[in-house]
Amino acid sequence: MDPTAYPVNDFGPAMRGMVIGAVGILHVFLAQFAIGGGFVLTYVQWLAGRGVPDTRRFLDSFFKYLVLISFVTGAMTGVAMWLTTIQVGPRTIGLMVDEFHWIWAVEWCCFTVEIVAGYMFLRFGARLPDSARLKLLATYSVASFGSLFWVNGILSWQLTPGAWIGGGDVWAGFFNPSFWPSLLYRAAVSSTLGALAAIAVVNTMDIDRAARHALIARVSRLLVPMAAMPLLGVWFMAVIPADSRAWITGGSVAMSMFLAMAAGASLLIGAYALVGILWRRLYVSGATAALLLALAFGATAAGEFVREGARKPYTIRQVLFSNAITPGEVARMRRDGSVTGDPYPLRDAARYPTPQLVLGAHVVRVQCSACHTMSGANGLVHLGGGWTPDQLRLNIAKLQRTKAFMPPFAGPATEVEAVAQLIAWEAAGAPDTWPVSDDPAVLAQIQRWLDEAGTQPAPERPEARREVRP
Amino acid sequence: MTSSYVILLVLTFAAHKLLVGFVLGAAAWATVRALRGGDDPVAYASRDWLPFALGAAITAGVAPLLLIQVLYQHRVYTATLLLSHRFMAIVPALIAGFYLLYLAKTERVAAWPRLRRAAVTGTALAAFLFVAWTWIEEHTLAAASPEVWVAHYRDQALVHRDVTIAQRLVVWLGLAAAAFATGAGWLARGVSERDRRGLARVGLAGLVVAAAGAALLASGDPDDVPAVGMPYLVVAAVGLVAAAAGFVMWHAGVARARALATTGVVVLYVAVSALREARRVHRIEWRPTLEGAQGFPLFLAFVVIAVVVIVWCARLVSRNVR
Repeated sequence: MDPTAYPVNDFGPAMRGMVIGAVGILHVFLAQFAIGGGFVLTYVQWLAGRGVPDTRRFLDSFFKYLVLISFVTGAMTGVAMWLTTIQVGPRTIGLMVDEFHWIWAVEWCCFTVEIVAGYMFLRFGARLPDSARLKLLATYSVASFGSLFWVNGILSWQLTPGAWIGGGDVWAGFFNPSFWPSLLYRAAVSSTLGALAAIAVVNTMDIDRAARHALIARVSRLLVPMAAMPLLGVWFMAVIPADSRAWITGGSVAMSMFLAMAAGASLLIGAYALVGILWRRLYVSGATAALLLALAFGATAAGEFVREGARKPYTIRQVLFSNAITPGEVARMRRDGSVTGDPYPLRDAARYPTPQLVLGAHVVRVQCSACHTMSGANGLVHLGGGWTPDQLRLNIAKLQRTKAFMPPFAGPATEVEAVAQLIAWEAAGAPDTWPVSDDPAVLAQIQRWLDEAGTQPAPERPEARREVRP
Repeated sequence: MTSSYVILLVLTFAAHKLLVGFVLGAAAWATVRALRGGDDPVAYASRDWLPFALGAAITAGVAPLLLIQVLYQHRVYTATLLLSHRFMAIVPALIAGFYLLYLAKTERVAAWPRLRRAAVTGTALAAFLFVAWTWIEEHTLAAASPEVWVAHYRDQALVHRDVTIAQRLVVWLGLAAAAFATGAGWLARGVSERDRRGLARVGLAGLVVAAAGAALLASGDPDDVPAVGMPYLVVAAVGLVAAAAGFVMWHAGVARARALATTGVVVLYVAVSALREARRVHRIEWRPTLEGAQGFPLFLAFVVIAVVVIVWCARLVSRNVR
């Protein structure tokens, strides 16, 4: 069997990207909370060693939340990320594992130390002196930051593989152009999440308001790194590919809106933290802290959405398109077809009245279903159901020119026509009968459009943009 | 180079399964104890250590999860995709089981009536058994032929039916009982003679069940143990005998018998894991792309660092704990 052939699952009205997005956002939020929680714990334990009142009580309370949230759901969503990535993009995660498995193994060493140190603190912390507690918590914190360090290199490589593209050197890929801004940005986010969660926990403690206020003032110092986030964001934007930058800053309304949401929510939290909490020393209630955390979750969600979307049309830049087809395979599929080597049959083939529509549905499954459903999220019928037949054919055949963030269509003219007919049939309400479209003149025209579009993605072909200029 | 991956896979998988075995056995003991009413030091230690043991089992399981992706990528991914939503259900099952284990430790639950207490650990146990079944199912489906995969996909099957799944589960559950008996023997404090004998009997019964499951598994396929697997079979037999002797002597109250049983169980786990891998390697094709992967020396350095830091943490705690 072809080692690139995988069964494709249907997630109903949700597109596959939404599935990994939902799991990913939750995991990133919890993982960053775990790292920031480590910062908070280490800092407050240091304060406890200096005799600052109520800090030990806070630590024992905060650590329980950290264990229950981060050690359980955080760790399990980490496993879920791997399994979900297999569900939505086996070739992508496969390539990442092939290239970086020893880096991932190093990250596992850090994770193991993090878990062991954390559980030791959970089990014996109450019976340890401050110095030993501080050492355990510092170990936990360094190990959890180590996990972020190693995973960050792999994730940022997807968008900016850097010099890895030239020779496949793992270290060139790991320390890629967006490695440092991404790492520092995530560290600042982690510190923010840890501080906000700490403020929420302080509000649950059975101490008087003045004591709570004093504790809040201290843990709020971990909000200071937020001041660097705008600069780190600009740095990140400066090093990502120009087409990705253009895409998220106006090229796509949806992506631009999500970027604005992430930046706006972060700005609101930052302004409140720096001006209200740190400068004016306002008291932060549990409700306000929870609201700020919810805002931070929204910022994380929007930010991760933008980070994922900025890679389009790739999942690994210049190597693998969003639909798990490599640039090199497009030319072959243009010749041989995209579904001829797929051993997995169409499960609902009986639903379609003609073999052409069956072919269309099969092509959609192989080439489109990573980001589109037929009539659910990002539905093809919603996007192209109102187009004329020739408009459909032209836009599909010249896909990467229709939208620069789309990969080139990877099939012959017959597959373009099959997809066009399928969308038209679905838009017509899926009638019992449907004419077969096999006019040689139509297919010849589609072939001309395919040839004009070429097999390269749009950003790779600056001449394509020059062609349309007067 | 490829052999390094296999050796690492065997060792990390054995460590993972040892911890999983303890979790299954401890959850079962705690459940049965709760059903009978009252408490005992073994049940208390089980509840006390279960969350940590599960966390350690999951952490240890990440390593073999990574390594099977390297070694058998296409097969593992295909099986994961074919089992689809059913396979993904292991994540919420584990999260639910994890929280139930923490719940079982609380004083509030300790004051509940016996049926409700048993329901807490019993539900967690059911979740873990589901996860165990699903992973074995995935392993079996990954080793199946492409024709089986295509039929599974075409039929939209949620379950992969193979008689060896139950047989494998019997082997691992038997070993789980042995792992739990030795683990609980070390962790529980103030164990009565009756409970000590009970643990030894559980361990011994587990070995019998595991051996019976292995015999069933082998009888179903005359080609079951390839020549390359014979040395591991011999080592497994040695481990089995040592563990059985250890449990018998522990039952009789012989000093240091528990150490012998523990050693035998550990040897048995490693040998069975190696045998399992030898069968897989014998039956399916290798991936040719493992040469030249960068980062192995760094990984080895981090293994050393991790071991040193963990030992240092343990010493820090043991020297300072009040």
